[in-house]
Amino acid sequence: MSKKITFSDLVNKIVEETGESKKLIHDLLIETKNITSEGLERDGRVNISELGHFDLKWHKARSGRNPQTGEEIEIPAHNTINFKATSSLREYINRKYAHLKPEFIEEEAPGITPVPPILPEPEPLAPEPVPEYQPDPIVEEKKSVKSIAWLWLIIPIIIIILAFLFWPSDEAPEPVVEEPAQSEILANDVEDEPAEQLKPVEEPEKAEPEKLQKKIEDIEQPVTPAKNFKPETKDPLKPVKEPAPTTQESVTAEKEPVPVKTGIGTPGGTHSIQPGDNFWTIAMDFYKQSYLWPKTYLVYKELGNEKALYYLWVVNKWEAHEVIEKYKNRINETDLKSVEKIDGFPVVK
Amino acid sequence: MTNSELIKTLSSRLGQSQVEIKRLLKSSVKIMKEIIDEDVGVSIPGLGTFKTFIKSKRRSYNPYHKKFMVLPPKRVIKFRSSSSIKNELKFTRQKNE
Repeated sequence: MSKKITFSDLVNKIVEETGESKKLIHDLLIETKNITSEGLERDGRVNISELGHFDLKWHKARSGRNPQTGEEIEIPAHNTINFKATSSLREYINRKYAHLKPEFIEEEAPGITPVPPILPEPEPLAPEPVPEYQPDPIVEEKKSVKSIAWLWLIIPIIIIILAFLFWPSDEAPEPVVEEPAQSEILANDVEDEPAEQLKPVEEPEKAEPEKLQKKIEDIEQPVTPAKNFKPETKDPLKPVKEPAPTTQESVTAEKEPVPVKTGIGTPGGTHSIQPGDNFWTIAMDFYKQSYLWPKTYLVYKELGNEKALYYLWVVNKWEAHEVIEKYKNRINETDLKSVEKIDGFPVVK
Repeated sequence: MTNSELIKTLSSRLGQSQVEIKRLLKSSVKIMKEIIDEDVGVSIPGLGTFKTFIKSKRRSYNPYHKKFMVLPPKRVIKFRSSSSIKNELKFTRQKNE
């Protein structure tokens, strides 16, 4: 530490290394000093590769005190020069200590910090129990609080999961089972039953949510054009065999034994259920508006065909059950006249 | 000021090529490194002295792990600037510049 190499010895060592003249290297070191001072004044930082960088740091004015005399002195704002070595140089110097690494201390740390605040007060009263009692309840309280907190988090999650599992099992199967009678309804008057269904419909309208009311508003407009199709459907059914022969008797006579038409796109046609059909698709085929799917539902329901209801049952059940009761008013009695049954499957004409 | 700017100005003032001065600076820095490593102080007149000292092992607090830890001993380079350059630059540079 106390050793120090002189400037001339340093110059001689560099001369041995490089083989240049003494004067050049002496000038080089002196010029580097001059240039660093100029560079610090200009930029505030000077880099020298593999050695480090010099920095100027600005200190604010402050009031100090002379430690010998105790006089107060105002220290003006000023610069200081700092040097920081490069990381490669720091590693090169510390290569002896490279294997040492910082280690954590577990027990000393808490023991040292709490002692100084506690000692001055409890010494006259009871110095011994203070360090023993305080740490124990603190640890226990934290554990108890943590255990309760876990329970409060877990219990509502379990309740929510159970609610999702067991919620929908009650109301689902009602509409399908209610009407087993298939042929009797057709045999009886079809006109009377929808009239009975119309009356109770008015009550549930109040309880239903706002979303359904929006759907109603959407459907109120398309209902009127749909009526244009209905007379077309009604007329050809019964009179299909009659008005057709007005144009050509020979051609209509051939068509009379074949009343069934392909239902897609034609209002008066028939339709047989196929995989992929919904109430929506059928409503789109016959009424050209998929929002009128409750009509198709009621038509099949009047027939009492459980198969058809089972295959076409795609929409959410609760929603359908509520919505259909509401739209019973909007379906004319005459629609149900155009329903017939062929080969066990319902056919809409 | 970067290292390349330093080499340019040195070459213009000493009349040597930049490659030559780069070589000389590299070798001089290398010799200074070796001297510093031997616990010997190096002084450049007008700039200051470089020397090393050993920081003994010490206890410190790690706020991330919230634990106390022991740091191993370490060698540190200390630079003490000479009074001439200190007085030159004492009031030159303002903070906000």
